[in-house]
Amino acid sequence: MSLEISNVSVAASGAPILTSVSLTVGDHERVGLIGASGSGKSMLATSVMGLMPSNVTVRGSALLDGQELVGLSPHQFADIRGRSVGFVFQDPLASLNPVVPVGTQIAAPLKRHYSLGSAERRSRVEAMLEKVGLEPRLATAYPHELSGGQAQRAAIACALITSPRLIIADEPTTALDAMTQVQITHLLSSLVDDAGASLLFITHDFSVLARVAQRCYVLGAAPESARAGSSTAGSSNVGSSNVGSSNVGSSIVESGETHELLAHPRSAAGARLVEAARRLSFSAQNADQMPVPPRSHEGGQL
Amino acid sequence: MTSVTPWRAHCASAGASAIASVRATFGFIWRRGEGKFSLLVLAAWIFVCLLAVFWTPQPLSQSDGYNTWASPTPAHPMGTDGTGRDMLSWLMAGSGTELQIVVATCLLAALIGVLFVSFSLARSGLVSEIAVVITDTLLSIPIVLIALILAVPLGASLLVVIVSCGLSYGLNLARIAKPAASLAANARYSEASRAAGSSRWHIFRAHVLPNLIPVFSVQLSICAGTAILAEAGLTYLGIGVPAGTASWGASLSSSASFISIFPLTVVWPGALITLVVVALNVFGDCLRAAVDPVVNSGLRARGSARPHAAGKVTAGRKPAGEAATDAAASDEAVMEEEVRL
Repeated sequence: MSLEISNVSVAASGAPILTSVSLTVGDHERVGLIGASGSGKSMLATSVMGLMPSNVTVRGSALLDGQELVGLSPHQFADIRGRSVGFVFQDPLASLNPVVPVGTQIAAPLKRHYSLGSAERRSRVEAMLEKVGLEPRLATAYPHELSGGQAQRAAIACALITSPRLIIADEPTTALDAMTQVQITHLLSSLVDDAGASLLFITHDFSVLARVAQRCYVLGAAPESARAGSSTAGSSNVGSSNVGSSNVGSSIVESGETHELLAHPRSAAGARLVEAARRLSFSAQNADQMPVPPRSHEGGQL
Repeated sequence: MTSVTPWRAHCASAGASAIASVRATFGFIWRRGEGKFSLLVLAAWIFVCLLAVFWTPQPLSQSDGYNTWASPTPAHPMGTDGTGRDMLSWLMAGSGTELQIVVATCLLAALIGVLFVSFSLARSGLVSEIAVVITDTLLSIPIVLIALILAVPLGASLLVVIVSCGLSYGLNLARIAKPAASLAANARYSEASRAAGSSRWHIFRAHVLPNLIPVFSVQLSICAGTAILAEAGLTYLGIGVPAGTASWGASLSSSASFISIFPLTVVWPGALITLVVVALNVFGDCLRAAVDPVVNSGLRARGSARPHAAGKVTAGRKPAGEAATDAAASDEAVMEEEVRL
């Protein structure tokens, strides 16, 4: 399923968060969206899918397989979410209800979107649990009995149980340790490929992104041209390190093949993210190849 | 990988899961000393209620005019009251009245509580504002006053006790449960559920209500105890249970003025009320722990604690064995071809 976001601007109570963002996720494609904390990457996904409170306004166009998403009614959105589009969130243990057994939570989207018998539903939940590498017996377990990695597998099962055609993974590995991150990213991309779905992978970590997405977009402070065009907001930029706190919002500053972008980041935001990823994956082999970080002109610290 | 799992076998018959949960819950309460006490007292209470429907030691209508204020004798094990009625028979019959009051009050309070909690979470700001205003306004009116107002059209009746207690406890319940409810409604898992297409109503049912069970179990058991006390108080004021109906409050109030002369006639209903109220409060406290999957391991092990399952109690706690190792093996292969940045 393809998602085509063009010129989407998002504002919360009048303050711009995102300014004319355009990105495309093709059929069977895994695309990354990367940006620093606060740059509004999650906001893009949630607002396009109608998950934002009413004080958030969305302008522009977002086509899901040709269907316009901007301006849909809450009911129309609810029918698309979970059925055509599945979400995986950041903190797996927080995105599972602690007092409801895991199996019940995985079955919930199926119950919402399809009318199946309870036996059929159970067998699908069990099949899904096996697919994500969990024992079917864990269906009766409560979330606190699972490790972080197991919980994220369960959350992925929740998102994939209805076989959606597009998966939006919103920092699905951020709350996990490095070892589990590798497992989860591998699991997610292989499941998405097996199902023939598309993936929009949102992260701030290039080292994770490099294993998932062929192509990626970098979200950063809007370029000067956009800044000049929409300098209506009165508040001044206090110069914090958060890119998204600028008063014109963020937009896509760079896009392209992930590996190319990793090797030669063109934008300041991209370069900072790449540099951060390099520092974290510091090892004896590539220590001597570490490049000198480009100087930031905004005085922002990494 | 086995195809027939304990879970599927477990859910094979409809309602089996619910029965297993109830068993795990009550088993947990029973294993605690104070829980055992509360279950025994409550069971005895219900047994006496049922018994009194068919049999009491003396007929309720019979009063022994020659033996008023009698001390305990073989014929009257708890003595008689001022009109010569057998104390034991009347207290037995009264237990049924108390049970009706307790059950009806708790149901009404729970209903009002859930209703107002759902209003306070409504999408429309107006509805939630109005719900808060109504809750706060009605809570400022004491129970006795509500009962007095209700007694004008209804007279002295059970309904006065039930409605006045149910209303004010229900509103109080809504006020106490609201923070827990809005916490659950705004939690990440509710957002995740919304991202899977759930409606607000479904989120309320599937995610908010289960989180309210601990609050409700504690508060409703307190309500149950207080309803018995309120019945005694309102009956003493003459607007509770009507004359001629057996109730502990009526037994207490009819003898209360003679407490210095015939203390035993007050001690029996008083001790009974105290015993049941304490048992209800203890029960509520144990119930809160028993429905918490983190505290009650029986609840989470219920899928594998079936007779035919190999590991009896702790089986449910083992991490995913086979499946996890399968996954780990393939993941290690991935680790080896780690992308170097």
